[in-house]
Amino acid sequence: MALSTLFLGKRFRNPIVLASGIVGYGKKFDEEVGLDKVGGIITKTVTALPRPGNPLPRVAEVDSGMLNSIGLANPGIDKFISDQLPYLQEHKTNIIVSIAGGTSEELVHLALLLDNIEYIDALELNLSCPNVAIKMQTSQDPRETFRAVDAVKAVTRKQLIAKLSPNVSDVVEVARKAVEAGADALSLINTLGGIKVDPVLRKFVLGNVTGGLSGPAIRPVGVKMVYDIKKELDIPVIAHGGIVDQWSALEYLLVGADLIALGSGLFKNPDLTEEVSAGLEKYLHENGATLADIRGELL
Amino acid sequence: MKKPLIHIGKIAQRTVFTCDRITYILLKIEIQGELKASPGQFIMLETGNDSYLDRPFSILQLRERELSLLIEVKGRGTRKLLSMKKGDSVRFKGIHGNGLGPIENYYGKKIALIAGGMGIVPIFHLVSQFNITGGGQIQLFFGARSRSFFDALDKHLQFSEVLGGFNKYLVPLKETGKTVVDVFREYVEKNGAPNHILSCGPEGMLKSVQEFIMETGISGELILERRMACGRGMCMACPVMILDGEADIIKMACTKGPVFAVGKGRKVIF
Repeated sequence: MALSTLFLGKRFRNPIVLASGIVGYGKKFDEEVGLDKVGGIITKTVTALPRPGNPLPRVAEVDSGMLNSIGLANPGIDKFISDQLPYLQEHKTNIIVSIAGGTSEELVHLALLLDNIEYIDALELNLSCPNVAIKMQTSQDPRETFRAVDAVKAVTRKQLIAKLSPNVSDVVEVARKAVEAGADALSLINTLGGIKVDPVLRKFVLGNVTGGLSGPAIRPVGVKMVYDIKKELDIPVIAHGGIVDQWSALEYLLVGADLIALGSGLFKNPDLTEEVSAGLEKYLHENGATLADIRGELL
Repeated sequence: MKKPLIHIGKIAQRTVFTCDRITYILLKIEIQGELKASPGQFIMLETGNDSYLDRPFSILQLRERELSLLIEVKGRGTRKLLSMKKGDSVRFKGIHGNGLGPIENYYGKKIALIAGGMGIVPIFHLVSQFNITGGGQIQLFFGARSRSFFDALDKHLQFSEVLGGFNKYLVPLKETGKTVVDVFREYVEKNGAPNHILSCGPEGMLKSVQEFIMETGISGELILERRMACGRGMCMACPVMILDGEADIIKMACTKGPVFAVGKGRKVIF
């Protein structure tokens, strides 16, 4: 009860959501942990057409984190709607569907197809996947960000969350454009671009050469970006990046995060969800505080 | 299926050896409780407290309360395992993956087991389970870089003893200039093709084995290796592309494999 959170007008049983691309479309997580243990799930990004994903290897461990280059592998919107989405309908958690497109038209097409599915609570626009073969991520350019959010906002009745890239010089500027275009919330950070080299084989480790860095290594970057945005803008934020226990979740909450998203930390630790929620409850109890008391305390 | 159990074990024996400038670790882990695994199945091993990801390792043997792994030192995670000592506690998750079917399925059939290098691991798991008297129809073809690998396995795994009842063809590339598939094909020319092939090893070798399976119309099972982050169907890092008739299918090696049936119009796309 202590963790119940209102976000975009919806009740979340706790401020914990599953980041996009971590648990696919949730079935396995539901079997292992239970979707009713989290406030919401952000589904793996879906595109208009199926995408096989990037060449192998797609993952590599690095100091305090990992690189991935999955490459938005997904079955395409039609199969997603017919085969994957219905499973989520039966579960009482908030459903945020992540979509990506090479153009605004593709995003609009996806948003229209999802608009009439009542049990979808919000859309997340993935404007920041570092692993697809385009010259830049949409959210690396404030004008492109505005254009994409604006185009989707014009056609959807769903709440719209823009997922931003940390691979920028001024994330607040990009965030401001997303908000001006009508984004109801922001999700950040996506992974930081990175490369790992195998000096023994003298080769790149990932099949795609570059990948996205996640894990505790990027947490200070994420905390700063959430802090910078919350100081400047009045917009709800789903914080991502290196949450591996309640303490890392608290870092984000104290700088104003509305929700916190669990990501690659779930791969090694299947108990992470319960550990974070129990840890947060204990912290609040011991400090005689509510979630609202601590949220944004350091702003 | 509920959450993967986190098992805690203790290193009962740790042997490090080097062949052809590659370092290997043989780990025998004393486990609590009883675990069952079929050949081809794997565990996700924590390679240290500071490791962000577990590493997948195929099971070499699992009997009584002892889990054995044979590990090639390749990178960051496996290098960390070098510093583990006898008596150290280790954590692992699993048992993961789809292994081979019941051992009885293979009795009485004319089967070729084709292994290359570290591909011997699940094959060793399989043959050490066989009731030797039922294994007369089984031929093992095993290729390695050089004879030193066979010698090392003999010394540390009593390899010859375990394989005593099998017809085996050991093919050291350095000494013979032949690949294991070359020797297998020579065998087939003289003795005819088997009904079924089970194979694990480098992709190039598996590709040649699959070509043979497609040419002759027999059935086969390939055991594939992939890097993976979660080992349980979530991260999408370990896809295997299968061509089944006309249709391309993507399956994750961790949950739908690592054993994949091929033959009769179905093949792995390498």
